Amino acid sequence: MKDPKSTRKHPHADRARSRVTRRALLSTAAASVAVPTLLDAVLSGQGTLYAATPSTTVNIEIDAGQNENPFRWKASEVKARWGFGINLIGLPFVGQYEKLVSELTARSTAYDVLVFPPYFLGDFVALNFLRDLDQFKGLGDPQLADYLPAYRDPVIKRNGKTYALMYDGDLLQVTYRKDLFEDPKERAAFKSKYGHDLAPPKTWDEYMEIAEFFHRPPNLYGTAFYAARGFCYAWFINIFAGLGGKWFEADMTPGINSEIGVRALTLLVKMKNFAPPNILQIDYPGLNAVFLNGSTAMVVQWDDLALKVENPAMSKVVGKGGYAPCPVRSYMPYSRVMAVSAFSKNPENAYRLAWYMQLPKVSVTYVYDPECGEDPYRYSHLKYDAVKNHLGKPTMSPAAARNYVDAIREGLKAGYPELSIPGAPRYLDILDLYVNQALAGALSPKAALDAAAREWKSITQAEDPGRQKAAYAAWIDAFRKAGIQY
Amino acid sequence: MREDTGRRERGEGPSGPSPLRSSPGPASRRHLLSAQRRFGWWLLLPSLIMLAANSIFPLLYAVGVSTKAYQMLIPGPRRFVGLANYIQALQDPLVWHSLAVTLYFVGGVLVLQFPAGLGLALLLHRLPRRQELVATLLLIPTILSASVVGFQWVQLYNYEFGPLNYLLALLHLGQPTWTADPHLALPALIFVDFWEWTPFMTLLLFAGLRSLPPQIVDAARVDGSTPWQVVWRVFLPLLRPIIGIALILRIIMAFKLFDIVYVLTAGGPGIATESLAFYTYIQGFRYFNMGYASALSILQLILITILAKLLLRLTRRPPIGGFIPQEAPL
Amino acid sequence: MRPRHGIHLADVGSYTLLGIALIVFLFPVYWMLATSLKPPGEWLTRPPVFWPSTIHWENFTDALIKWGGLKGLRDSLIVASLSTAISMVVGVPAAYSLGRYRTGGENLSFIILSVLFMPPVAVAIPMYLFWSRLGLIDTYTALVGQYTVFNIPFIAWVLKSFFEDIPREMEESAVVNGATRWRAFWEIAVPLARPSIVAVTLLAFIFSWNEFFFAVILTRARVTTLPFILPTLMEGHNVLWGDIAAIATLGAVPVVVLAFLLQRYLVRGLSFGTVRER
Repeated sequence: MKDPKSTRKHPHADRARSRVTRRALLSTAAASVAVPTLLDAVLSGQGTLYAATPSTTVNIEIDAGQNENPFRWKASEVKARWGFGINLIGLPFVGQYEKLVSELTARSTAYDVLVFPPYFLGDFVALNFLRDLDQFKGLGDPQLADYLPAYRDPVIKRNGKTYALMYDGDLLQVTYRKDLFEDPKERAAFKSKYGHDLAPPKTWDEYMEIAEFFHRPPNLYGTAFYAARGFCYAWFINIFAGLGGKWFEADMTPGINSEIGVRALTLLVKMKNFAPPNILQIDYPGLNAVFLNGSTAMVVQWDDLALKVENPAMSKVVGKGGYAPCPVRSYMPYSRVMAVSAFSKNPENAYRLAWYMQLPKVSVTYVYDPECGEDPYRYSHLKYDAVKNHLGKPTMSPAAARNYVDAIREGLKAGYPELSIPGAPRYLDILDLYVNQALAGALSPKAALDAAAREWKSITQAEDPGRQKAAYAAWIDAFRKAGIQY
Repeated sequence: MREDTGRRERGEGPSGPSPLRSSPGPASRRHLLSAQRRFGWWLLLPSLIMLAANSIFPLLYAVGVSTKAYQMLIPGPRRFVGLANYIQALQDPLVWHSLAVTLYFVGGVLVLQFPAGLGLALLLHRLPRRQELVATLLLIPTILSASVVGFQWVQLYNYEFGPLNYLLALLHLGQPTWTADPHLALPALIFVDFWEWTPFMTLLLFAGLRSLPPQIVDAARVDGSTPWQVVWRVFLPLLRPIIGIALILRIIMAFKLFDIVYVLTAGGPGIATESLAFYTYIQGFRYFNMGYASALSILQLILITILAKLLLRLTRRPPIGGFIPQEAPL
Repeated sequence: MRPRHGIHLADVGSYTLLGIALIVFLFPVYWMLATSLKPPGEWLTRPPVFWPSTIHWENFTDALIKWGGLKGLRDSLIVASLSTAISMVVGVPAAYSLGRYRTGGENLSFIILSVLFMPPVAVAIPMYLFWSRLGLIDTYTALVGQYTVFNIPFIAWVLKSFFEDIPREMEESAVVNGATRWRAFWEIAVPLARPSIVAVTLLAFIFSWNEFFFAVILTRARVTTLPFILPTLMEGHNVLWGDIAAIATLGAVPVVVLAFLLQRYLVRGLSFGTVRER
């Protein structure tokens, strides 16, 4: 039993104390907002609200890593010429699309120049993320006539307007062990087995023959390809294109699950038999590795593999690389273009930077440099003596350079365009998912492609079939005008 | 030594009504009770405000968006479609598949981590000294970031160059392709999670073991029971509360399986490791099907809530006829 | 359970098992350390290189400078410390309230816990829009705010049990003798629960330090915590294993050191009946 007097004393003291408590808690709450804000302001020197970039710096969004290097190499020249500096914001390669879309949807002013693969372009133009570059022509003529046709109108223009400039022209290419192909014993054995000479394959059946011939595990694998989830679809499309496939019919019926598609995917699945056992793990670096360490006879890979093959710091097979276009047609996956963000506060300087980077005399200094990932896209790039790094040092022996440049030229004559209409990232990602399932053996090629086609149809539906048809037709038209067979 | 026969009467202390909870006299009792309750709420208020701002908002948003046909990349008005997204989710075979993947993963976590954690905790308990040092050493995997763990295991699982396959080759045990093998990929991920989190489980269980009053343990041993019986009949029931905490935390985390999938397999090969959270991520952040992704999220929320409730109930019940010095109900 | 005199088979078995466990759990950590010191030629070899031939410090200098590891350390420290401090200040009283007074009953504590149930994706999109409307993307405020939201339920819910565990008598006698409830809480319960508070705070700090998903979504260039830097090193072209390992090591060392310094609190803090043992 408590003394009533003492309990009466408590309420007052309690109320006073609880006022203190209240104050303490409220001030904690206030402090917990104020402190980080102040800290932020002090440390970043710009306040918490993102201030507009002063025009003395151009912000470049790009996928992090080697592809940033050309900008770094040219930064001082740019500064000398126009007085602005550059700030490179490198996004992780995986997840670049997601991040860009999130930010641009939120109308972020953080980026001035955007560097991304052109298959984003359809979506970005449709969503008004990019500025039309024709208005800036006065600041500098991009010399588009020098662009290889495959990289010009179909890639950088939409609705007749220019929205981007090229930065990196990607192409799938056959890279093979020249020393093995030229070895007399091998040649004799091949001829007796298959009835014709051993040479870079002109058809996919020949490709399979060569892969089978050289498949001698565990010391030598016949071939390898990107079979991991992410880009395996490109290797399917490569074969699909070579067999005459089309992305869509004119009425937007998907072409991937046609009889050609099933044949192409079946071939790709069969290719696994002549590849390393961990083929499903093999991605871009992995594919480079299996060729560069000498364990694989022939691969289809992006054309910058050649630069690495001839680089003693990276390769165990220097001088042994042979380069050829892919059978029948060479797919042109990825690539990179530069665009100016619609929300940039600094569009003129952004354009100047992009324009400078793609000038013939500037770009030629880095499209053959193994320390960045950029590849040729101009006529003026396709010269044998242009195969040098950004410091002017040749990056290949003259013979290899000749072989390489010729292979690119031939390959681009029969280049096959990467889908770039609105919704392209989704179409391609779905295709990749199902191709990967077929490769993993979870679905038959036909079932996989049928499922992919079904989803493609629903994407087309969601996007507005009329608009898709028009976009597709315009895109195909640009290719035909560029002289690409389609 | 306090005795407790379960829920105490509100306001009761061992020596009668506690001044913290009650006082004589109906009016002042109610007054103090409510003053006390007010105090309790004041203590809780800042948390509630912060949580409400940052979690009710996303929840309401997600619920709202889930009822619309909302594709961020397709401009135009967002139609209200009611439960269409939910129905689509329930009919989507990929959803069921990813649920199976997730449940398999959670099951693997449970089946492996709990016994291993318990075993290690018991082993630690037997150490004469340096128990804390060993426990902390073992804890290093947990201390590492999930992305770091992911990257390290990409190297370790590498078919050609990884030390794991090298070791297996030395032992003539074959060369699995790990994350390239559709059948091994998910178990490979389970093992990565096992590696990362079993020490955490061990720590919690070991702490629990250390807190057991020695008298009970000795009494049980004198009793003549085998060590196995000691563990099963005495330790486990007494450790119920901490086991509950450990399991709930682990299962919530395992259900949201995302980080290691993202780094190690990207859902592949095929869809072998596409967990529910990863599939939702793809729908939301690759395809920007906001409506669909939100519906999927709400469904997951419901699932986890049910699971958690179940677990709580299972680990709260006092053992039958047990003598619990101080049960800490959850 | 102390082993009896002499060496018993069971003891040998225990030591062996523990030894194996230590190897299993620590070898990958060793591998990470070794890789961080290896020159590029030794990153991917067959047979693997277990002991670096030279110490290739470039991995670390590159990690610190070229890849922004120094800034990453600073940013991670700021974000983790602030969010842990705030969630502790706010969460410990909450835990006390939930544990001692059963405020809101079972349901409220479950609801608080359920904040952790939402899949990160679902939270990410609205929170991204939320922070971006406030113009707070790529700021410390956003990350600190986000992590605090995750830490509070964890701290509150786990500490709740430990507060319940403390005997009431001391608080009761304090109140009887004229102390306010606040003082009973602050000057009695908190010190008694100190090991648990330290342990849970350490765990919360570790979670904030290591968080990856929101770090990627809510930041861009001005705020770059360590986990955010890692994926940028897996370029499309080359995976720089040594640099990745160096950054990973940089990220791990502070927290591991902290854990070792506080190891006693870890175990004691997560045990029940701590008070009784005194």
